[in-house]
Amino acid sequence: MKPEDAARLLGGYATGTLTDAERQALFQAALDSQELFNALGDEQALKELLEDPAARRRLLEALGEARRPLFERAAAWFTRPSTWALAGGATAAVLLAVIAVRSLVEMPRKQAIALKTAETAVSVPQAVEKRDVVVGAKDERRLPPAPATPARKDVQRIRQKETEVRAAAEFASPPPAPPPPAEERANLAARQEQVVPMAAPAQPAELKSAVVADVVTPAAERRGIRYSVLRQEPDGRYAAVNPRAVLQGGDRIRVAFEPDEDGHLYVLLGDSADHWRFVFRGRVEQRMQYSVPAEPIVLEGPAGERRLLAVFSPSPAPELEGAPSTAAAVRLRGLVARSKRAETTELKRAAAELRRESESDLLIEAVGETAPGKPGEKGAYVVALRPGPGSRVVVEIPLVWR
Amino acid sequence: MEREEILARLRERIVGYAAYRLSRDAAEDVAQEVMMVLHEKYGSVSLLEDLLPLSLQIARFKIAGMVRKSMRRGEPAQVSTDELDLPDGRANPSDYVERKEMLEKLVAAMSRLGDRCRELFRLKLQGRSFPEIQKILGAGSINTIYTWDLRCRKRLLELMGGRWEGSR
Repeated sequence: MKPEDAARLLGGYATGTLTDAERQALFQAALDSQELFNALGDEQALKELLEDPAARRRLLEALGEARRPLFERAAAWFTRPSTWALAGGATAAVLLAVIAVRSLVEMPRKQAIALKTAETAVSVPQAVEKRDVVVGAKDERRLPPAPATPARKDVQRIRQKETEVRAAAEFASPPPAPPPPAEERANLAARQEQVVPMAAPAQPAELKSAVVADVVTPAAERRGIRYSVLRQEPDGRYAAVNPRAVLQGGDRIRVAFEPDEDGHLYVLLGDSADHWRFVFRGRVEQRMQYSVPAEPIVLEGPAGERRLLAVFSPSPAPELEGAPSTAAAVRLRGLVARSKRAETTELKRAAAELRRESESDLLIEAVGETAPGKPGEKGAYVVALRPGPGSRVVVEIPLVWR
Repeated sequence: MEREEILARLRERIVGYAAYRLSRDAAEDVAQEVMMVLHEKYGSVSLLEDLLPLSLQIARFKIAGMVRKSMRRGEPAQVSTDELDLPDGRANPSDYVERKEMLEKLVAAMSRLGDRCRELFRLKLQGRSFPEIQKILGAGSINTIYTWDLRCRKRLLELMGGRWEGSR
């Protein structure tokens, strides 16, 4: 690619938009052209800014929603409840105005008739009463709130009853079924492209608990994260595959996580020898996607299995904060005599604890071609069933290849 | 391309890049320091797509350190750039303020862009690749998207005053 052609890719460097092929072309051209290299150097400040999820989110908020075609925008406007409320309100106002005008016009005539006939005298106060109703409607905001009507009381009673029934159902529901043994889960993982629940299958009892939790527990107290397994395609792009798909030797894999709130995410990668290392650790922002690790996991050999352990917590996880990351270990090299073996043992112990924790109190729903979800969506939603401000999501993600 | 060859060419480029901000001698020093960091701390990194961004990050940091040092020249508490290391990710008050200012300038500049550019930036910030953006925007070819992006970036840079960051 010529430098002038490669320069058109500059805008994708800071935002991380480039595919591997595009990056390669841009960097190669930058090595050949000082001007392009300088431009890349200037982009570095923007790149570092945009690597901060908070900054990225701030810009996205500033840019607002996607601009849709006129027809779609018009259709959306017509389907908005506020539009119908506005239209209904306007119609009611017009009707009231018509009634008021008609009443005012007819009143003198009725008064004249009332002078002549005794029975029409009653109609005058009625007309005045109608006027009062119309004028009173304008001042409705200033009136004290209306007392609970029988209908409102009924609604309150029904809601209270529903809450009692749900609470009773939660109390009476059996404890969540134990997760199937690891062997069985491995067998499930071996099914090619078959979407099944993840480490803790959603048993009917759990689903019932989830539904009850959905009703009884405020959504803000439950914690969830979405993840999808991304496989690098021949063109360099990453595409989501079914989270339970059996992969192939040589595949290059990353996993994208998207938390439903701000918090801390820790991702550990383990091998067959039960050695674990951090591939991600840091603060994450809600609704932002984090693809880890930075360099894809290469599934080497004809068959095998590796595991990722992800912990999403609203506050830092003490047992994981203490363990040094690879980057920190590089910084500390030569300065702190920290035994490599001690680090490995520490992480191994933490991983074992986390794996035990991941086997309970989770609702995991995989979505894909054969499961419900957005069209074409492939991923898994993990929700901690145990509510509370300190609850966290710990999920184990097996990567199996044949 | 071998690591040594990549490093040799990167060194040349870094000297050129630093020289348009610093003196020639200082630029040579920056390039040398970048090479030392790459050699000592990132000996296992050998791909161009990793080495180039890494070297730019280190070079930018070293240049900033040198500029700061020159601004402080004459003061008793000078800081040697030799003692400066790669950023550890924690916020430094000066960097924090600079980034905040840059972010606000970016927000203001983006609000003045046209609809197409805003949509393009929105998709890029969402992590879409150029081929995906081509499909979403319904462009006939990927080159059209590259051209749009080039123009939008140019316009944004103009609105930012010709530089992404303030003068250090």
